[in-house]
Amino acid sequence: MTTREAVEAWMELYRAAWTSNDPDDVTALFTEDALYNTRPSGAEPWRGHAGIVVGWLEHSDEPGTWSFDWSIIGLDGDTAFVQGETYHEDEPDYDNLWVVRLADDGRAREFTEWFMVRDQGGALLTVYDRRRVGHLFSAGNKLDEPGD
Amino acid sequence: MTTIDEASSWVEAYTRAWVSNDADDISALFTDDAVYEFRPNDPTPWRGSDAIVAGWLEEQDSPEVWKFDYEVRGVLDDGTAVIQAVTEYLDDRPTYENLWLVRLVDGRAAAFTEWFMVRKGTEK
Repeated sequence: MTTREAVEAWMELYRAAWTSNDPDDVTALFTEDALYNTRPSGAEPWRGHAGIVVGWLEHSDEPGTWSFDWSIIGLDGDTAFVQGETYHEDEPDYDNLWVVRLADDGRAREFTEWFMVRDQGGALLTVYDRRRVGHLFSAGNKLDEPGD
Repeated sequence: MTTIDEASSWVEAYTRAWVSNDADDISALFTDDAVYEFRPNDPTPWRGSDAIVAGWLEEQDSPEVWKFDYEVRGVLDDGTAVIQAVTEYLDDRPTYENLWLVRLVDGRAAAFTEWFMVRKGTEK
């Protein structure tokens, strides 16, 4: 059973690791066999401490070039749903939704990120393009990876 | 308190309305003052069931072009159901991963927000 306090503590450690890019900070976040999904499907997850550190460092952001705001939108069992907004100096802004399954010791067993480029041309969109799948959004949405 | 069964029933009713494009089926899904967001932090959501019905009918998908699979990923304290889904199109559109946040009140959605991402490798 994941608690709000456990998620808050984990999120602060994540932010610290995002800033330091220190492998020890990164591995402390995850169980030894954790899966890190950089998107909901269609990409191989980063597997275990070694895989996660490699992926993390390949996609690392320079400290001071980004900011991140988040809030817990809810919990169910061991799973936390965290919504965030990421602002980068040289990239579009993103909305993020993280699905994080925590083990009893407070480390993550599984992490999955959803991300969408923040709409920067909303006034130009016609109603037709908006419902269902947002065709105009998809160009940016499919090309961008977090941290690239 | 929303249950997984209620969340599933709501999604089933949503998919029936997606097929029927019937105004009564659509309005039955939402509270009178519901907000329908097409993306997180949508600057221009549809507000109210009348606007949702009107918008839905204006932009309806024909029933035979899509396939939709879902699972309830969670039910949160505030009554929000988290629905993860995959929408496949038989036309030239890619496959979408969907995550719906649906806050249910007495079985109707008071707030609906869709997250969507193109499944990698399905761009056509």
